[in-house]
Amino acid sequence: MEKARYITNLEENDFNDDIFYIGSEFCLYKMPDIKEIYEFKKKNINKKIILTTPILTDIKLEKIASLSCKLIKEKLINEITVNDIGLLNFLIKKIGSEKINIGRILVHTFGLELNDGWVRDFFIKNKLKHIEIDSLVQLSYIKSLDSISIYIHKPYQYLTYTRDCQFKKIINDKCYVKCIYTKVKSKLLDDMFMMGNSYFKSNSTELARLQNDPRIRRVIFSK
Amino acid sequence: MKIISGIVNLKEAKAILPYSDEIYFGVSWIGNHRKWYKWQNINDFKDAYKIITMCVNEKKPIYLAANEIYLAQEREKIISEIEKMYDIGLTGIIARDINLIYELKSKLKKIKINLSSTAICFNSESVDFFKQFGISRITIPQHILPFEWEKVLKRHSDIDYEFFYFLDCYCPNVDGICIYHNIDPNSKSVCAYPLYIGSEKVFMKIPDMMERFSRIYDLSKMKIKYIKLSRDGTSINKMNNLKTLKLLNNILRISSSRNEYMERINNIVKYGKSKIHN
Repeated sequence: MEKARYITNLEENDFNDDIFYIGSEFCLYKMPDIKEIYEFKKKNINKKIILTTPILTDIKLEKIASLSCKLIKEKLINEITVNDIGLLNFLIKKIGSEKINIGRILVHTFGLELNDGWVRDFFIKNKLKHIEIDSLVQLSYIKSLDSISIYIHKPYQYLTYTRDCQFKKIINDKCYVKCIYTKVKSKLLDDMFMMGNSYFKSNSTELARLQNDPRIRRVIFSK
Repeated sequence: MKIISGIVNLKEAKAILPYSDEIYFGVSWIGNHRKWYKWQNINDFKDAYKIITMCVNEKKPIYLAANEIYLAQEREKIISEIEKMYDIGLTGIIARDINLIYELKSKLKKIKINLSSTAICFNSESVDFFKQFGISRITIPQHILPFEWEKVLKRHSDIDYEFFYFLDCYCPNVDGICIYHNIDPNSKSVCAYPLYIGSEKVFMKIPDMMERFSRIYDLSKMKIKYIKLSRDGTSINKMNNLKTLKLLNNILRISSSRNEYMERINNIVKYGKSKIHN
């Protein structure tokens, strides 16, 4: 079982892990540029690096799509996690599917469609074999996909996110506010967690059952 | 802008159709994005028949909301139910499920497909992806800012677009991938519940009213053809929203600039007798 760490601050690199997830699942204004990735790679020369990408609008799509292709071609990153249908559509044509991971937000976008019909055929035809999940419900979405590797997020499962982030401060297409990480309680959930524009809850009770699946190859630890 | 109204029963359809260019509805036997409220769906096929026939007679398009993701074993029945309504005169469906769209289009080549805002189609490459299924219109997701959609319009001018009447319909989180709104099985209003960071009470925020007014201006100037009123609210609310929308359309028409439009809106909100928003 591989162990990976999702890091949001590229200057923090005192972890002993062999696999790092960088980038952002939820904010297109929090994506690192090529210079930052190059510096990070220099400090982590023998480590596996995975670039995570969020849902994108056209403001950043072209930039992130071409950045992803360049990083893969120059071997600055090993894999790319995709959460946007458009980026997936683009990258399959440009770099093939081998280095693509289907992110957990994209798994929610397809949902049950993954289990049969055109969508399942699309996954099989394009050899989309690496899928990130964080919950039992997501496991149910991919029960009919046999030859895949599952990567599990820990210790939180995604609940929701907004693009109307109340904290953002964008200058030159980048957000310069440090995302707030904090515990949050609501009337119905007392183990919620807020990270900038997104909300999560603990998936510790589901992990034991999740980890029984023989297709699981990697655990991704978040802060 | 053309007005699309969501309706929830025959009586409402009769009242609202004269003031709308198009209507849409859901039925209780086909899951849709109003599963929380039984009253927001038509429960009797006879009523669906009458509403569709009424629209056919008035030569106005009518769409069915079938905008959830369905199990494989449900799809065949759903397609046959849609076929029944299509035979009466249903124009098309509002959908997100790719498998459903693909299979339905294989059977009914001319049925119109309006891609639901819940499909998470956020950019021109995504539009490119969905176009292979023969969609004819896209509901622009609420969290897209108008300037973020400009390239889509340039690259995909062969399909139509619509957006929600933001003053009345705006989710704080990205709809279609929001797990949070299913947390409470009895209510869809969970995002209005307070959150506590320590002892501090906070709320999930939505853009203020003036910001939402400005988005309507920008989208209308981008020549988005349709504005859509949701199924939420009472019939009285909906009639009020239609009046407001008529007023908004007039303000959009007479304002020579964004500033002038915002100033007029500001004056109405502050001093006007007409209630711009309930």
